[in-house]
Amino acid sequence: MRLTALIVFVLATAASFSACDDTPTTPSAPAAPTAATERFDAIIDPKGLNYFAFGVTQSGLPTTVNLASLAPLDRPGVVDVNMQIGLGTTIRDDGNNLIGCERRTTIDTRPGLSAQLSDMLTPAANYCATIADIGNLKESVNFSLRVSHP
Amino acid sequence: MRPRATRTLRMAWALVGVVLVVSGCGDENNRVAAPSEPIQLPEELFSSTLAPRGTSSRSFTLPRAGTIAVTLVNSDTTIGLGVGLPRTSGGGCRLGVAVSTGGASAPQISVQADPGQYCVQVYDLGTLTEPIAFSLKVDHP
Repeated sequence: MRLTALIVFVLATAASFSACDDTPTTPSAPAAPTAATERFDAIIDPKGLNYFAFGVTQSGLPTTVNLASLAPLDRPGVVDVNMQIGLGTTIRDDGNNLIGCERRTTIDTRPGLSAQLSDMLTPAANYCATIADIGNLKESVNFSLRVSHP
Repeated sequence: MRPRATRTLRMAWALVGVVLVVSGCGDENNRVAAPSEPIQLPEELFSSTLAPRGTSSRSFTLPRAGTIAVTLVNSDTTIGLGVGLPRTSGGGCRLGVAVSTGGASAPQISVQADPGQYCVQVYDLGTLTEPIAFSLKVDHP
C-alpha cells in the first residue's frame, strides 16, 4: 500500500515539474490601431488654398501630413518654398456638401518625404487636410499631400 | 525490500523518465541563435540615357521609414537629380527633393522618408545638346 502511494506521488511530481508553461492564460489585448495613407494630388495657385476630407475611424494613433511634392507644371524639378499645411474639421452645408475646412493645426514647411505635421484627432470623425500658399508661389504648381491616419 | 516491490519501484522510475521526456517543452527560444549577418540595405542600380530636354525615372518601394540615399555615379555633365512620388498616371515623378549635380562617389541626395512608393528621376536642366549615358545608385531600407 505504501509502495503504491509512493509511485503515485512520484508520477504526479514528475508530471507537475515537466508541465509546459507557454500557454497564455490572460485574455489577448485588443488589436492595435492601424494607419492608412491617402494621397491627394492637385494644383495650387498663388495665394490659393486647397483642402481634402478624410475619415478617422479609430483613435490611438496620430494623424500625420506630408507635403511630399511641390513641382512646376511645365518642367521637371522642385519648387522649394515654404507652404502652409494643416489639419482641421470639415465644414458642410445643409446638404452635407463639403464647403470648407476649419484649421486647428498648421505648420509652414518645404516639401520633403517624411511627415511634417502630426496631430491626435479625436473623436473618430471626418477631418480635413489643407495646403495654402503663404505668398511664396510665383506660378501655379503641382503638389502631393500624403495623409496618414488611423 | 521484497523483489516484487523492487521491480515495481524500478518501473515507476522508468515511467517518470518517460513522462519527463515526452512532456518536454518545445520552446524554440531556448535554442542558441546563430550569429546574425550584417543587414544589407537594398540597392537599386539604374543605368540609362538622358536625351536633351528629357527625363528618365525609376520607381522603388520603401517598406519602412528610413534614409534614401541617391548617388549619380557617372555623368560628366551637370543634370537634375530628384526623388519624389510616382505619378498616379502617365509615368514619371512628382519630385519632393532635387539637386543639380554631376557624377560623384558619395550620395548627392540623402533624405529621410516615410514608407511608401517612391521614384528617382534625372532630367535635363536645358543644357544638353546630345543624349548622355548615366548610372545611379539608390540605397534605402
